[in-house]
Amino acid sequence: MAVKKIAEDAKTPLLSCASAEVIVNPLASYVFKVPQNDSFAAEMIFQEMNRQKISQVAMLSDNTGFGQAGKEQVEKIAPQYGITIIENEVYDKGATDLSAIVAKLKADPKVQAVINWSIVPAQAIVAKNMRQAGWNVPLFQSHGFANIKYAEAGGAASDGIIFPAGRLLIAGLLPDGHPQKALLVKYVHDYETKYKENASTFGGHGYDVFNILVAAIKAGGTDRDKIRLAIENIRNFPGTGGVYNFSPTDHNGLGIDAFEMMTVKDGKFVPYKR
Amino acid sequence: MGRRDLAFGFFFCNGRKGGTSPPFSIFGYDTSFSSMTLELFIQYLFAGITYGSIYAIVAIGFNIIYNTTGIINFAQGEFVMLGGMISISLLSFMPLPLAIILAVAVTMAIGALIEIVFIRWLKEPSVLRLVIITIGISMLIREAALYLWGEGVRSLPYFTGNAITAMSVLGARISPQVLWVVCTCGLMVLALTFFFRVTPAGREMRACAANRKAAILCGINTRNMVTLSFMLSAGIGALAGCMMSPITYTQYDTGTGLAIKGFTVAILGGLGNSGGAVAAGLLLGIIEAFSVSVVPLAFQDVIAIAILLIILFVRPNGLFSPGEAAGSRTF
Amino acid sequence: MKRTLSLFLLMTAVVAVHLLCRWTGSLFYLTPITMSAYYSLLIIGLCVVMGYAGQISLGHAGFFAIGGYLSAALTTRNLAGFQDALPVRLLDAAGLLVAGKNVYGAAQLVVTPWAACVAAVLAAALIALLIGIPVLKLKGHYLAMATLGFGIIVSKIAMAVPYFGEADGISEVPPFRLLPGLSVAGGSAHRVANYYIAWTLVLVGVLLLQNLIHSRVGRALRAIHGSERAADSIGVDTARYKLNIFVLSAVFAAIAGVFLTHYNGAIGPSEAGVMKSVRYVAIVAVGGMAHIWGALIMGTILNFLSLRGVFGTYDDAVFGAILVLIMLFSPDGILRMGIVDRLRRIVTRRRGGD
Repeated sequence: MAVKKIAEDAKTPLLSCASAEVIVNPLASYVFKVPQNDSFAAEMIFQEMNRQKISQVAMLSDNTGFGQAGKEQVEKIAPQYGITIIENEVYDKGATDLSAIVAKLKADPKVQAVINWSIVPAQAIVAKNMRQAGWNVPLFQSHGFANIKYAEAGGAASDGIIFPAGRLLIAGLLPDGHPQKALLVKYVHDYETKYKENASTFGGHGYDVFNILVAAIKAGGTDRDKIRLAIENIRNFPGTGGVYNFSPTDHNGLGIDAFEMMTVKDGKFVPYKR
Repeated sequence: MGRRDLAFGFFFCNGRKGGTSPPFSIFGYDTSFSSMTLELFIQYLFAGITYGSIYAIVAIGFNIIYNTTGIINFAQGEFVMLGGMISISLLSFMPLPLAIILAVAVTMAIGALIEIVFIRWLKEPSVLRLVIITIGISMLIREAALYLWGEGVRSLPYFTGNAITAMSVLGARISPQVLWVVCTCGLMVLALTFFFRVTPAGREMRACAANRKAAILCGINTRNMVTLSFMLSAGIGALAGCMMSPITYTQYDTGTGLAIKGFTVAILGGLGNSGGAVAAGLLLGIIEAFSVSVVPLAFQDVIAIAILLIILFVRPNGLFSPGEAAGSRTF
Repeated sequence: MKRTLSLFLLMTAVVAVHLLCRWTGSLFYLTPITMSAYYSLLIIGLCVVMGYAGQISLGHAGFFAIGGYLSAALTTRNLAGFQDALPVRLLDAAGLLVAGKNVYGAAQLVVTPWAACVAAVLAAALIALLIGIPVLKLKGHYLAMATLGFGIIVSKIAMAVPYFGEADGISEVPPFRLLPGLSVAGGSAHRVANYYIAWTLVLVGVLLLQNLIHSRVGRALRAIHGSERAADSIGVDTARYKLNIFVLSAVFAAIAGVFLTHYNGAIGPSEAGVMKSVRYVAIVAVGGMAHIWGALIMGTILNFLSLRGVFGTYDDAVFGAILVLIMLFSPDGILRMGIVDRLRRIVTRRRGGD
């Protein structure tokens, strides 16, 4: 957040790859962000919960900025969907074992599902501890889970985790004609050929940032203010995160449709079908 | 002895099925022991024992080096990390048991190398100097690990079963890996006891610890004993690292936190007293596990440090040491 | 005389660097130098504790954080909601609060930077006093671990408590108005003024410590460093001296924290971390544990290089390597290595030996 103020004071456009809501809300005229909003991730999770008639959940988050930002959004939005958070715990990001806290949550029979908002390795540890304890309630994770390595880290415990993420992870499974498909398939192919590791949404954010900047410079020249205006005028721009529609009031450019609900099956990411 | 019993008694009195103690507040967080069923109790207990045995092994590593040289090796945690990381890298070339054995051997070599390069030729170094050197060494090992393996999180595969298999013990479900950890640590303690009591090398090390000059007069090569102590500590740390990797994952910086907890346990049990280290390790592990039912999870690490500070202020010789006795410097 | 000469040299060097930067049009270098100056303030305090009193402290970043976080929190956390509470009304009556509007246009009531600074430094001194009494009774490894534990607890609290901003830290810290027209703030307009503020503070600090070392207190400290038991036996109140110097170094660290936070406009939990504490110890070790000028020079240089990113991702590795190398080869610091003597010895050996 300190960087946000500095960029604003210096009138330098800042394109951020971080997902925290507070980057664009409250709005700062020079600051943009590319990843999808936490709030949309939370809303997708709650919409799915409504469909599964889940109303009482346990919330776990780590003590990083990402975890806390997610926790804030989840707590704020839950009442709008009629969901009550009956257990709410924060753990240290370096925690190596969460079986004690999982046991405590499991002992509360009213918990119908668990939301975990964290970075690795805690995401995999929570999944493992839950399944080892024989607790099979649905586990929802944040879009921070969007890298196949994290699913692999959890091994067999990762199967069945439900999380929202950008469509990059299932590029090959999209229907032809989807506005993002061509771009995603090419990006995944190029990335995996060059770096010999699986592409993830995080690399995609960097790719989007660069493409948007290039498009803005092509449209408006290299003056800082012109770049800023050019970005705000970008519409219908397909990127790895979604189709971007910036505007003077929207410095993120994505809506809830940028997310797709996914799950893990046999160690691979697949679209989630109820 | 008395203090440990008190802790358990506290839990036993309140943690019963269907107990009726009302919820009460600590720091504004609702807690209640009445919800502690036997299953939950066993679950916490096993979590505590798993971690406790790992802390105990790190503490024993500290003690071995301390006994032979008087040095506290702040890089002890890094040996645990190295054991895990090296075995994971070797796994792509060879079957699991061989990878583990080789990783332990390599870490032992690294331990010996550290001693020879950094410590051996120092003449009468002050405590301050040694503390700072070992801190610097631990930083260097950590950065080297970051450079070699990146910041990703890795783990060995489970030895038996996979990420979700669990066995049922007295109503609680635990992963078979937990048994691997606990049994291996127990076996290591037994093996070390045997080594120090019976084998010639072990007895020479004990002689070094008791009185260095006398040991030299007896013809014992104390410098090699020091190197051997480093190798031994590195070895047991590495083995523990391999055992716990499937449960806790290994990352380039897992060593630091472990070193602090290990040191807490070593002091708690009395520096140099390895039997005390085992007891203290289990105690700390169990306290941490049960603390989850009382304080918010975010403060779990603070408990270990608070215990460290309290012990240092109140009874720096540890719970199980009989006062200032330097004679407890045997294994 | 020698002392005043060195201070004078420092002042000239400071002005010379400024003029050099102005002449080469690279005034932006002044910013990392200013930040290094604040870190050096902490380091010279630590140098006296470690070098003269002989007490290792692996938790000094904790005091820096206490100073920085408290002043940041007091000057940014809005008391407007508690306007009617008695303590708030008392503070207001004492003129310690300032009303205004925050970035969202809502009414805001915060503590003035001066009051926050005093409060933060007092808090750090108090905590140092409380911690110091039991901790300084320990020796060697135990002392190192106790100070390390203290540092970790401060950093965990900074990470866990919402009042201190948790993982994001505290930003939007207002400028600190020292005198009308002179503020500690980060904008480029204030750059030169702040450069001199920082170095004036450092000069005052060095002056204070030098006077301390050459006084009775300093001699007592050196006696303690030489042998605590001997000092005890000749009647030096070792416990009190150690405690006082510990609290003084904590005050130095807290002041550095307050000023740097206002200069940067923000503070984060990394400032309280163990890595920073170890870094400070490394710099003191390199500069020579009882050598204030060595600590100051090495502190400025190393922090400047680190802030400019010269070490890249190997930042921590560099400090670790420095620590190990210096402790192995020259535990009295880099300026006491006796390079000339060693070279002389090597040359004569080659000529004479066979």
